[in-house]
Amino acid sequence: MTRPEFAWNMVNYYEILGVPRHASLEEIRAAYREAVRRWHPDINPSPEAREFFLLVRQAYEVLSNPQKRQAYDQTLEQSPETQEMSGTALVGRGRAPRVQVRLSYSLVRPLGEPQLWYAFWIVRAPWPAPRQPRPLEMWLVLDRSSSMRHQGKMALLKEAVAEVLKRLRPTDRLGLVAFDDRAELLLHPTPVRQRNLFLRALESLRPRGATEIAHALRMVDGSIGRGRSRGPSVVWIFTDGRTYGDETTALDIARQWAQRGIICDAFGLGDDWNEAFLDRLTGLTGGSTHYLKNLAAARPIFQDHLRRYHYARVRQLNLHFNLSPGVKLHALYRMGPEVAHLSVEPPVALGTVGPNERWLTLAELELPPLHRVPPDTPWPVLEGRWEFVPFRGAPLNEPLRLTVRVGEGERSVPPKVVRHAVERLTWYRLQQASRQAWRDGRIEEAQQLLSHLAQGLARRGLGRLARDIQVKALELDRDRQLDPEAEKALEFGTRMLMLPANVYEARRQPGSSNSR
Amino acid sequence: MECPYCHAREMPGALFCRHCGYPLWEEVAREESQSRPETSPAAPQGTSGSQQACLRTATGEEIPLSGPGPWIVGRTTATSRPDLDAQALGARHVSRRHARLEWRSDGLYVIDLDSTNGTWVNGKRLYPHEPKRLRHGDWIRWADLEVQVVLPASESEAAREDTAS
Repeated sequence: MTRPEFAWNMVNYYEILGVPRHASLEEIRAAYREAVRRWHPDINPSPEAREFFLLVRQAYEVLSNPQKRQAYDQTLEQSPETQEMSGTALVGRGRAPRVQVRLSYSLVRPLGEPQLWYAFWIVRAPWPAPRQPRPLEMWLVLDRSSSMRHQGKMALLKEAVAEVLKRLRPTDRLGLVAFDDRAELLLHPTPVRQRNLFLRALESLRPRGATEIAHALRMVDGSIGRGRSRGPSVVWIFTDGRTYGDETTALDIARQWAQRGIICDAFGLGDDWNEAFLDRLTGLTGGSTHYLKNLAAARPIFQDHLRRYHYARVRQLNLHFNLSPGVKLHALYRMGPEVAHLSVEPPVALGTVGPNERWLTLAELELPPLHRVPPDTPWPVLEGRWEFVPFRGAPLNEPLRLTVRVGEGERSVPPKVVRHAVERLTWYRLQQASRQAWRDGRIEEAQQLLSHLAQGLARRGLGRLARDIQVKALELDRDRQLDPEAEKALEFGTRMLMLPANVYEARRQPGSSNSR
Repeated sequence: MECPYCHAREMPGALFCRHCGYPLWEEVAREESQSRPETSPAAPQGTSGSQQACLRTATGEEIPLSGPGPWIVGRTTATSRPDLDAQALGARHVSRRHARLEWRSDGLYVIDLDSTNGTWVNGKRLYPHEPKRLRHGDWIRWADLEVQVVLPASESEAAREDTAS
């Protein structure tokens, strides 16, 4: 039976049930029961959930039967993944490769014009997750500019911080910085067990002033990661606004953090924050940006992130590369474990992964005219290395080489994972193009693009989102207006689609309590 | 290359049209498979002109699959309104929500919705909720109703046109 295409991040049955390879039968049963409660079609009617549920049943059928399980374990050792790939792979010897790549086409035509070409990497961490959680050093950078007064944003911010406190471990250390056009250190990194200190500091937060973020980042920079930390150093920014004039300084700090393995994530409140800037800032460090719509929507995001940091398998993964002459890297997207639009300037920080997670990265490349290349010779596209930075000791490097064959022979269709990833990226871009058209006053075009997007979603069984977007297209036509909240909903609604499907489902549910 | 749906220009190698989201890779795959001489499975007679996917009953009646789908196959009762009413075609043992037909990226699929009397494709019973891809000429049996799948030559293009209207 073929594996449904959304499950491309799931490589084996153990991961589908979320149990370790050595799990006992009881553990497998418990995980199965838990999965049924979550994914059964009666409980969760979406098509993705239904497909995932099928996989869960398959996984349970095999893993709950000792004979089938043994046979299955043997196939895992041989790693069928590598055999079904249509692209070239970098394969370590014996075991499943750490890095797998799938290409849109492993054979391209010798055209006299440039052509697009896609590579999708699935990268596993070289080290297992720790058994005990790692101690975190975390900083929360809190926007208290006067605009936070409105729409209940200050209350949401305080709730969010309280939620983070609840999910941290007593021995994790947390620092608090508040900022408007100045920065104020509310609390040095302090063990989380001293809860009332944090709550008191939060109480004192009053909205005032403008938004300038760089001061706050510099303040954090002065002390973060100084104490030879054994665990991840993480900065979380909560903001509702647009910083003015100090973007360059902020981005410079982020670049330095990337080199030191410090990861920065951002959470936007309300509808007027600058997502493009925060995307760049967090993307530079291997972090990600999220829309903090309400606490219910934030909970699974906090949970996933903190689990990832507590059980981080590396401090940082860096991608170093050189492009061959004439090749252009149009875009680089990380599609797992969190979505991020990455910088195309190497080195690129990809952040960390937790248990059962892997890095999924899509590259959109433009190849130069290849009509002069002798037929059927491998043509190098890019070369470089993956650099896995551990919490202690020397980094581990894995070479990276992408080549393509040029010729007129028969081509296979692009692999499913590549089609899936590029389709989702296309949807995301349709939404972006529509908002741009709207801002430029090309309203008809904006509306047209949204309708195309809705059709694409409907065609893939994402009916609810398709309907929402079709409604926005109609409103745009009628009112000639796209309110800021609708823009944020579009941006993050389509961005979420790039996530691995099980993560998407888990995050989609809390916000949409009574649909259908 | 030109997008067959919105006629925008796209770079060769593009998998989807960035103006309308059309899956260009399907077009490329079709062209390449057409340029290759191959024996295609025998088509059910009299379908070459059809532009739309449909189901043909044993009596030759054609039920078009119009709109983007998915389509629920079942029987109409006070509480259920399937898209394809099997009762109207003379079936007696089809469940209220028996099966679902839907388009996916690589074709038309049928999924049995845990029906009492089951769904068969070419004589093989499907597991409940197991998606099965349908090919031109396949026979589907829902309890006591049997139909043949008729797909147009360019199935996905037809599907797209349906959604557009």
